[in-house]
Amino acid sequence: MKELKYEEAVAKLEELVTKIEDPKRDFSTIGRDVKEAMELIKFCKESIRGTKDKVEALINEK
Amino acid sequence: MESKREIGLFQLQELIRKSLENSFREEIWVRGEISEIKNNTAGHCYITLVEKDEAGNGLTAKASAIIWASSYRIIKPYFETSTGTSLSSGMNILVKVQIQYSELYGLSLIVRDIDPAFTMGELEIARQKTIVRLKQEGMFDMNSTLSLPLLPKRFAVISSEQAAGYRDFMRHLHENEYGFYFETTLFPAPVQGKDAPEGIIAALDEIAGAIDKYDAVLILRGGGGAMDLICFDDYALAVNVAQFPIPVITGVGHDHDYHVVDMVAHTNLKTPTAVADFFIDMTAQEDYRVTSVISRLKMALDRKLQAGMASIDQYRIRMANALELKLLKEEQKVQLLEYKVNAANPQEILSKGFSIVIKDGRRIDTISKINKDDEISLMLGDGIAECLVLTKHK
Repeated sequence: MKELKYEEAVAKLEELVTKIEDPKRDFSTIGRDVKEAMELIKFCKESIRGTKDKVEALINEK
Repeated sequence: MESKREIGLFQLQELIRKSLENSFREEIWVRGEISEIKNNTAGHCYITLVEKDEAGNGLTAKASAIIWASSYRIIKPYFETSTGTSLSSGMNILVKVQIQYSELYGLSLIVRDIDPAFTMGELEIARQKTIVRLKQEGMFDMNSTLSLPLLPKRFAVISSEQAAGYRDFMRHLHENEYGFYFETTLFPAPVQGKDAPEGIIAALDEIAGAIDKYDAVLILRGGGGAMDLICFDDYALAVNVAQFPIPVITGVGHDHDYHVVDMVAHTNLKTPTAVADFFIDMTAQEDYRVTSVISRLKMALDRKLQAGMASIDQYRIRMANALELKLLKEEQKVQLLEYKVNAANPQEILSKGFSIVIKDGRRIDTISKINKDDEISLMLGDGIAECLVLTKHK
């Protein structure tokens, strides 16, 4: 799996959420979609936290 | 035969003397030019007085004059303090004389009194003539239009080594309080009296031979009385000073009036010490100017650096704020998505006791899609029940 960019992860997440929310979608895939969405959320949160730490380190640098 | 009437030489001279004494009973004011002047050891002064034709070339009259020591003791200082110069050849004088005729020595004019104002007037007339001539020849302002370098420090000094003024100048200049360095080269020359113009001109010629080595020429005199300064009204000397290729500064130590050479010089100062001060002050001013420029530059640089630091700090703060805002937005976005996923996650719903109706693999969200006798699946949190529709109600 190639390295995922944050923007791509968010876009994918949006797409998955829309899919999950859509009642007309095939129910059998929903478990897989939710699992993937949860993984993306985890990735995004980690990305944000990582960036936050880096930025804070930079800003507090004297 | 004609009888000859003879008289002796003495008798003749005696006749002339008596006749003259009869004709010139009173003392008389006579003007004339001193052609020669001598003092003897007894303190008497012997003068040859002349008068020249209008062109000033040929002599039209000549006579011997004597100032006896008894008169000379009074006349000499009186004349010198009044005119600032001593009796010398070439000078026009007005004297009160007693005509005296000696059988042995012939005619003599015995000087009883002198009018210094007349000589002053004559000198002033000569001086004015020199000034007018220099102006007409366009030389009057020549030297003063030259500019001194910003930091003059190499001086050709024309003076007499023994002159107190020269020594004062040297001490004052070289021991200046700032410790500025100056270079002085002495060109010895008489700086007063009759020989001064020639001597100073010779020194100027020597300096002109190495003109690149000097920033200015200084003619210094001082100490002694304010005597014999007529030399500084000399036309030839004035011409040489006026036309000199670098600035000439005079400090000849007199303060009652000033002379043609001072007028044509670049700068005229009263004393040699004043000349030293002039250059020390010039250097000090330039030094101060440069120092203040440096400190202004430093201050401006400090201000700029501070302003730069401040604006960089501003950027840092703005960047931090922007980043925080962005991160917050992203966090909220992800949180919302997370909430939506959780909200849509069937497992969440089922765990709360709800169940999902599935027909042909799809979720059913309306009764209209269900008919009597349809087979449907009922999904619960922990399993699926297969069901048969018996009846439906709206």
